Amino acid sequence: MNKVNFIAKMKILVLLLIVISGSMLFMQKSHAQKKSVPETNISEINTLEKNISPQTTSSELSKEVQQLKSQVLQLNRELFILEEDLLFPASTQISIFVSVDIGRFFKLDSVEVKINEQDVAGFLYTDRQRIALEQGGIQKLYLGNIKLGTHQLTAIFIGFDNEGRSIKRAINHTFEKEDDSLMIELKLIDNTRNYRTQVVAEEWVL
Amino acid sequence: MNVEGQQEYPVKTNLQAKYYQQALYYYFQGDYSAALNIISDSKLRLSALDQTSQLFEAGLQVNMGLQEQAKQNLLSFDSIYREGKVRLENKATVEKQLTNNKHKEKASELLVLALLSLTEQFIEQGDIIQAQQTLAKVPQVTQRYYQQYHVLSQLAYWPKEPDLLPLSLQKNNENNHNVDANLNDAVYKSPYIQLNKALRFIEENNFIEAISLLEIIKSRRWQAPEQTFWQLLFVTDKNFSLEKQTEEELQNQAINDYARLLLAQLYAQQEAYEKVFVELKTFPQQSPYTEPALFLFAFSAQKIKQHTTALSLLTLLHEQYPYSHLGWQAGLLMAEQITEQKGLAQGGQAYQNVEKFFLERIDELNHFKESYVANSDLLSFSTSQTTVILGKTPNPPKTSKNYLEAPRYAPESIWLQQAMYDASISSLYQQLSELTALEQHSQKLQLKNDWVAETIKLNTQRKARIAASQKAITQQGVYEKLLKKQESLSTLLTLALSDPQQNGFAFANEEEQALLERLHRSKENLSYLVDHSDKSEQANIDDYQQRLTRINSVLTWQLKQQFPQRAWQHKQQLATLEQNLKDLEVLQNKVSLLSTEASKGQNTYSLSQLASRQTEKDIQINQLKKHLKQLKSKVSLNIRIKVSHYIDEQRILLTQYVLTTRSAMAGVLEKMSNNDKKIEDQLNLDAQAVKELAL
Repeated sequence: MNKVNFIAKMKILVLLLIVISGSMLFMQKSHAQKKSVPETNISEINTLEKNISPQTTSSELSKEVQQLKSQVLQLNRELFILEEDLLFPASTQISIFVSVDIGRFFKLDSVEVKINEQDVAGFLYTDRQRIALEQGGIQKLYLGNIKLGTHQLTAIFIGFDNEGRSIKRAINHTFEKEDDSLMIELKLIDNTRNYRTQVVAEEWVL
Repeated sequence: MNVEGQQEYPVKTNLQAKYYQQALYYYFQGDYSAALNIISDSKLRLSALDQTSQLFEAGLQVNMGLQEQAKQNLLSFDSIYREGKVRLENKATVEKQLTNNKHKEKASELLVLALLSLTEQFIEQGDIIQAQQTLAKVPQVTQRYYQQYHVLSQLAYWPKEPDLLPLSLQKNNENNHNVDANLNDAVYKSPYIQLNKALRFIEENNFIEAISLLEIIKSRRWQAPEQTFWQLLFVTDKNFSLEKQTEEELQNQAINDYARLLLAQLYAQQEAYEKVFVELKTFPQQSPYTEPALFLFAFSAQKIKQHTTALSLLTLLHEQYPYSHLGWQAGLLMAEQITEQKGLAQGGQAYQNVEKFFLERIDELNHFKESYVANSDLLSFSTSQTTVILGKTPNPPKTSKNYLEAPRYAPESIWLQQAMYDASISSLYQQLSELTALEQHSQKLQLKNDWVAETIKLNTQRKARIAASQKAITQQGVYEKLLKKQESLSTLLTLALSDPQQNGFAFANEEEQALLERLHRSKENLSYLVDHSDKSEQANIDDYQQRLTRINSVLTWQLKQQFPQRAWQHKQQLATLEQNLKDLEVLQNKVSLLSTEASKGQNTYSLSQLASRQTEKDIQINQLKKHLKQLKSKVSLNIRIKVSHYIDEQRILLTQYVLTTRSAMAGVLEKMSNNDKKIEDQLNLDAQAVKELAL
């Protein structure tokens, strides 16, 4: 339940109640003068409203705005996919992901990734990004193109242990690039037996 | 292969889960549009979403302000769940029962969540019937969601008492051990359930019950229940910047203050102003309800003849809230109080001041209207030169990395700020901001699409060049020539291998070839000499003959010695050549297939396909821009009408206040004149009496 909204609604309700009760007191006094209030402005608005066709209600407008917003999102997504299909066709595409399983023994700070000894990606994590990973998120670290055949991936993770000392964890992974797009997830997994974090590479099977 | 000799296939990765986790990465960073993009991407690529992702998508849509889409999503979630349930029940076998039960439990929890969220959406949209129908579909509620369910039921069935489901206990849930499964406790612990109950008592004129309940609510310390990930997902105004404790503190304070204000109102309704005064005496200054509480407090002080307090409170209210209705009313009451407390002369002066105040407001309002009507761009409108700015500097526009999240419009004009307290005007302004953000984003989409078009064009040119060079290679018959060469080499090798004695010379290296050629020439020369020389040279010729034969034998012996090794080397080289030619053929076929497919548009990723997709997007972007423009002008028009309404309403109200003030002032003047007349009469009488005495 959205509490703040609820309170806001209640506030409006209370204000209305008080305004109404207060106005009752006031209106009793001013009733006699009501007739003398100029009404030209009201008629002006009425004329304006009549001249506008079709009159749209607020909820209709809201629905239209939402619909357009949704269309923009869809277009954005489709263009993104079009761009990806154009720049990274499946036959050459490689994606590298990073995930953290719990992260009790290793506070991730940065990562460097090399393919065939060439630097391809590097990332420095903010606290929020690290927490997002520790809460189960997966980060798409790299998207690129690679030739068919056998390749070597090297990833070096730098982080801190529970006592704040800087530590490194690395992995070397040999993989085969075939016609389908290739996705490799680098997982930082806590090993409770030796209280260390190890890096595991998992190739997603499509 | 496994032990039974069957082919083992690798287990497929659960891509739904992977996409969901990628979306979570952005969600936890507060980037909802990126998270929603990932989920939509997975829907597009995997053709469907699982229940978790679908519910997550709905939550993200709520956060992005796409309530309608979220509603549709949750509705389809409900129907999919029911279909899935029937399927599972039909399929259930003894061995699958356990897994099914587990799956059912999780799906059932997600369904409850979806239905509750849907109900909230319906209530927010004012569709109470649909909200009631959705709540009726909830099969069971566990302790975790009971408070939410109860509050929503109260709101959906308001003012009636809702028919509630009994509390269902969660089974097999390790986290549930410490949860107190007492229904009354769950209800008792929720301030919102209690507040709604109190409001219903008021509605039923059951004031005694309402007062006793509000007495409890105002003094109790409420603890916010732990919210699950899913409950938090559907909360639209998550305040990531506030500490949990601070937020709880604020919530608690707001609940207590609201209960206290409600209580004071009830007392005021019963004309128990003494109680109102006591109740609001200690009302905090920093509260969302300070303004109405202050007014009620001043009003009650006036009623119980606490004149000094009333006067200072009314003055404070009038000065602090010069643009609020309560502030205006306080002005009138203040003048009345001054008249009563300090006499007619000061009262008259106070009324004059109040009248001046109202006239100034009307003047400001007219000025505001003029400048507002003259301004063409609503979002850039600011009337700082003509209107009063309340002591604080305006907030800088909120920046957001969510490209669809528009910054909230915060005008400097105090009148516009007041107008925006009207929910419909504020919502329209928000829509206008959103549309402007969308318009800017559509421009970016256009640029991106143009870039894609350019890239496709360049790639098409590159491909055309490749195709042309391939065609040239084909025309020149390069491949065929290579094949012929390879075939002749193969024949030579076969020949050499078939008769090593005769054809062993085929493997001679360059030096050996040169020697062989020299030997051959020498042999020819020698035979010429044999034919044309006389007998005196015969001895030399024989000697040459022998030497030649010796050299020939040595060379032949050497070649024979190296024959096996060289034959193997040549065989290997020929095999490599054959393989290279085969690879070349495969590559050539692939290139021609690709160019054929591309020219026919059969390949999804072919440039022609991509180009047609790009053209389609171009049309869509143009249509979108057109719609955005139309809708923007529609919203602007609505805002203008609403603000116009607001201005005129305020003007009418202010005019009424002016008239009331003048009327009260006339009353004061009349009283003053009566008093003067009385004094004059008295003085006349006194003078007459003095005269009579003198006579």
